[in-house]
Amino acid sequence: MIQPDNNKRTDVNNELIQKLNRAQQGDQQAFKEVVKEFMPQLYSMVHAMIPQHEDVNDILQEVFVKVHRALPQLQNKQAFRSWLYRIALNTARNHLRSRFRRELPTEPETFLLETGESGEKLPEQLERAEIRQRILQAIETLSPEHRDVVTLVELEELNCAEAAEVLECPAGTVRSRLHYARKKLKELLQPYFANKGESP
Amino acid sequence: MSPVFDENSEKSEEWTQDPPADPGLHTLLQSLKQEPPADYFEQFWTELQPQLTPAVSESWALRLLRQLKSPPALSVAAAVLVIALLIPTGVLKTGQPLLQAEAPTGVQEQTEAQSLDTSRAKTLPGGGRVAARNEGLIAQNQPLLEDANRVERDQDKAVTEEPMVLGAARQDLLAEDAKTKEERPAAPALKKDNQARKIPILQGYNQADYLVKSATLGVEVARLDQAFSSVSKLMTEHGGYIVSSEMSRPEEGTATARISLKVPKQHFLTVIEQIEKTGEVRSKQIRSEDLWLQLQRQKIEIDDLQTQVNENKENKAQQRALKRQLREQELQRQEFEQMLRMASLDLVLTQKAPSRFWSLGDVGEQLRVRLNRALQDTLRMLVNILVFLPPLLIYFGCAWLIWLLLKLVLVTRLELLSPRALSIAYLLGLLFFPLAMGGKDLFRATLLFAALLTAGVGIKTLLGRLRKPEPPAVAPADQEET
Repeated sequence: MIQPDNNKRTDVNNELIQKLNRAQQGDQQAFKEVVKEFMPQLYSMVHAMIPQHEDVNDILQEVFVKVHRALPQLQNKQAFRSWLYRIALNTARNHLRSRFRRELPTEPETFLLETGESGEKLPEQLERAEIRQRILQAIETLSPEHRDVVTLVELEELNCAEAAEVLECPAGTVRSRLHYARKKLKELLQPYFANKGESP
Repeated sequence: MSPVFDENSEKSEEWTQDPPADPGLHTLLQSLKQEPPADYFEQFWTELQPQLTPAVSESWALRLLRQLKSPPALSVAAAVLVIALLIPTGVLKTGQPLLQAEAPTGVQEQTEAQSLDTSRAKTLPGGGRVAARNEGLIAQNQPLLEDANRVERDQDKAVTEEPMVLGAARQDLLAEDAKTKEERPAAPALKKDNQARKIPILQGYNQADYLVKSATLGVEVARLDQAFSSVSKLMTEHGGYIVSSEMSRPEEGTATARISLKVPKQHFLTVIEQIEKTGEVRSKQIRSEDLWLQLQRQKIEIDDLQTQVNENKENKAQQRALKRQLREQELQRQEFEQMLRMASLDLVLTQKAPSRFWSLGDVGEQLRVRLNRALQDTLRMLVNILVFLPPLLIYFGCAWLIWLLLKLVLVTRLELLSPRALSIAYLLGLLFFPLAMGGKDLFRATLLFAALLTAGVGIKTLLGRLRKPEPPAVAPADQEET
């Protein structure tokens, strides 16, 4: 049974609050530390929504510029994390919306084959890219509300209450959306479950 | 493990616990996670840093405002400030009727409230015209006024220093009277600055004291006998009396009662209201007549007669004749005074024709009258709502749409203003704009809207503050294990 380490969480929160206080007073170094702490999480979340690296970079730049501008007005620093996620989610959504307007009709289906230094052989890379593409397509079929919930809960590993805070809706709604989104994703990704069992 | 939620339910409140995680799906979706490249952060920060503008240092005033924390508090303070600033300018003065220069239409009614005096007329829109007319009439009737002056001087009455009060009805009487006195030479027009000196007789003149009131009222009643007895009772209660009454009850047709009443002037309107409640009003006429001029003229006559009586002491026969005239004049004066004390009311009561469709007696008739009245009240209310609702809805709707538009453009897109600053500016705009455009009703509507908006924001803020702290974050997978 995994229990949350509340003491550690409090320490982290206190440390974060101190950094935020310093950043609010104009300390660039403190803000840099905050960016460093949260950038990987946001990168991961935005990347799941928009796989193109250049776009992710642009979105994150925009997010942190917004955060820097609005930071002096932030009163409840305990809610910084959800506030940050909310900004990122909205910025990514706006980006998607504007890209959708720009790029109709949709792009042809292409596998996103990323050449990393993992040492994987080409067939494995192809297979991984195909799976990734199918998962992205499956997520694309979800409604925007369900997609946001899946991104926050399954990818960012927020709990439903935190996701509800980010999405500014009741926790019960998040739970309901999560349930139906999972159900639909399982249906769509059934072949991968069948082929690879419970752990593809 | 029994399910902790009803998975078929779509109601959000029934989802009290996080749904159990699916490890397979979770792992599959986790494969989408992408870590940033190793040297990504430094590059990212290098690009980001030039875009970070230094935070604007806040002045002490802004810091003080921030201490208030609550936008509603700021909005209310701003509204109070605006009202405090506007009161001295006279925009918000209340209790002064603005548009009463014209006689009301519909029911023919002329009371002292509708007569404009000169000083008030000057303050009203178009009042200059009324005042100019009054000044012309005063000049035209100067000889008459001088006569009255003479009487006042003879009687050595104290002249008060109160300002002149001259009613419009009084001016009309003066004009009519001046036309009849052709033997008198027309007085030259006086300059404005001389008028106060020339008409001291009118000082202390209160028009309401010299008004004779009368009314004619036609009421359709359910039961004539009952209505008659209730009118008698009303007279007893208010110190009035029945001068004459006439009742006709033809075999075919409607029964009618004509009653002449005398009512003390101070209870005049109350009695009318009470009588109106006995049935349905079919006709109504209220009249007022100013007796000031007649009284003054009579006073002069009496004085002249007394002087003549004193001068003709030798001639007994002539003295007797003069004394008779004097008594007649005094009787007439008493009659005038009686007329001034008691108002006349001519009442025509008509019994309603029995209904063909039902005859439930008194109960049915009363029920019908009450239902009729209730229906009329409801219809009136409905009409009021229908008249006022669309403009209000349009106004509030436009205000709300403009608010959303401004918020979208200035806060979300351009990021020029904080929501708090925009809300304050917008509320101030909402107060000022209607005040500049319209009158009191718009001002009230604006205040109401601002109050509602403020209350809404306030409640939201309070709820946000009272919200319980979130429980420690537990990943769905963790909860599944527990």
